Amino acid sequence: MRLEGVAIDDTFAEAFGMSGTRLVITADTADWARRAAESMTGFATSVIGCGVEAGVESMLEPSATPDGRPGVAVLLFAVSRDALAKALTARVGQCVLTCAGTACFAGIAGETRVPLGRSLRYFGDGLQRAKRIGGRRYWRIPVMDGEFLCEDQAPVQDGVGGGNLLLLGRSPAAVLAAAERAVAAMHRIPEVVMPFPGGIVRSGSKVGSRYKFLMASTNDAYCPTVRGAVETALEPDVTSVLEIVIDGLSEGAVGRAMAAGMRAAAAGGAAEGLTRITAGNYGGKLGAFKFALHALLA
Amino acid sequence: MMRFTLRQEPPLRLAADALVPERLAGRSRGEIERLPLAIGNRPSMLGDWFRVSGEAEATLAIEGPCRRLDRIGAGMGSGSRIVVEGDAGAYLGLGLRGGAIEVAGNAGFGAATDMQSGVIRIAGNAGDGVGGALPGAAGGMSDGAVIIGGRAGAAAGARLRRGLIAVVGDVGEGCGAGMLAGTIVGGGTIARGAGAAMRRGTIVALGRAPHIGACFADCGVHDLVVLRLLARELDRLGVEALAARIGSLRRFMGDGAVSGRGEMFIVG
Repeated sequence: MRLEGVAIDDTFAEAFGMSGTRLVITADTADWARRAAESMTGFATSVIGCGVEAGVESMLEPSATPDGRPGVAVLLFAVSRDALAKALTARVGQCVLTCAGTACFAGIAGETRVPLGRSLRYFGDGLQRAKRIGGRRYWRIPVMDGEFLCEDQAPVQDGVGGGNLLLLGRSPAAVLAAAERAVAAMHRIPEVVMPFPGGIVRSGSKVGSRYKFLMASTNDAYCPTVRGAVETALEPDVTSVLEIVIDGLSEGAVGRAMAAGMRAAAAGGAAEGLTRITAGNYGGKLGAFKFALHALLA
Repeated sequence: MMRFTLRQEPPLRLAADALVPERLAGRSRGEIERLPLAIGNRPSMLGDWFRVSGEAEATLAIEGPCRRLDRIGAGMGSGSRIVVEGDAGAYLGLGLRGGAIEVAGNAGFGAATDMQSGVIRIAGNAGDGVGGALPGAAGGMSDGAVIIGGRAGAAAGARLRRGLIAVVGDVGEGCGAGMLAGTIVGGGTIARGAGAAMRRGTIVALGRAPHIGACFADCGVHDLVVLRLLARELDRLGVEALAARIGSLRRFMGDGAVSGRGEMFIVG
């Protein structure tokens, strides 16, 4: 299959079940809400190294937030509910509670919940107050600029982590431009985040290493500078490969994002330098979810 | 919708426990007219007092001279609705478990006593003891919302455990006395004794500043997110008149006399 002259491999991305949640962070201005959100979703690119994968889902108008202030929706994913709970407490405690003027709300509904404000409330040293409004329970923790208001618990749900696309091309600039277009298109799809810097990762990995202490190492089959020394997956004219990893609250959302990403990446046409789009998998033996590229574009 | 028209004002208190949609479901009109109603301490039948029309549905209407009609909607569950096209007697919505009760006129003593969920709207005034506790009970109303368009009598929200009581007009003495949690919003003047011995919870006085007990600590004027949430909730419940007046408010913490961790907000 070709899209605007760009080859689409007949393969699939293999993704895994995750526990995920959405938080809504508000502040007096959109800028301060964004700062808190970017801080709490920083160093959250991979569960392997960071314990959690997270990113900004969307900016929210005041009319779309619980307290009528500008806000940001963030998504967080971890391998288990307990791991997610631990990450939430640490990240909201260090990056949102600390940020001027912010409040933190649960962004999804559900019966399965993990502690949020109820873990952070002790910072109030006995001066914290619980408040139930409209069926939702909040903690109000006194801080130096007023109060930090935080939802008591955050619902969690099954999510999907590790949807991916690999973009191959004749120049690093062309591949980066295509990847940027893809990420911009994916950002318009609800319920997904691309957790790497700018949504793009250059250090794709393979399972295992020649070093016993390392569980993953560089995906040498896609590294152009060593193509002559390894069993390469690259055509002779490929000089750059970038990957986009997608985590989502549902299988459908990840699939829609991958489709939108492929279309946007290929929109520049093969003449621009993007030659092929493929995806990473483990032979279908590890992940619970398989996203066939051709089926997504059908 | 089934309509119950009270033929005449009863000489004694008439207990309306039977007039709840889920208790009428599946019954014929004849069966409904034979349901027992207590008039004072004597038994009678519903048909002795009410003219019944329409079909039994999730909503029922009550009309006529109902100021002695007590316990309207007592124990009603979610999904049901009662519309009272006039006044209501004592213990409106006693132990309400869900659904909605709307009263076009005034309500008597003890509206929303031991209420557990749902919404009660009283367009006129409410008597004493709104949202209170059953005799001997430690706590009163435990959830839901009571919206009063006029005034509320004494001891509104006394021993309130949870939920929201919003009064557009004045509120009588002892508002929120001994309250355990929950929220009371008063749009008019709140009389003396507000929040006395309150342990937790929130009283918001949007009218003339009430007398604040000596054991409440002034914490200054603040524009808090929790007040924005409260304003939006009032707006959602249709009490825009109060919602629009919530902004920066002066916060008092108390009642220190009982090591209380409650709060009162006043204007200015």
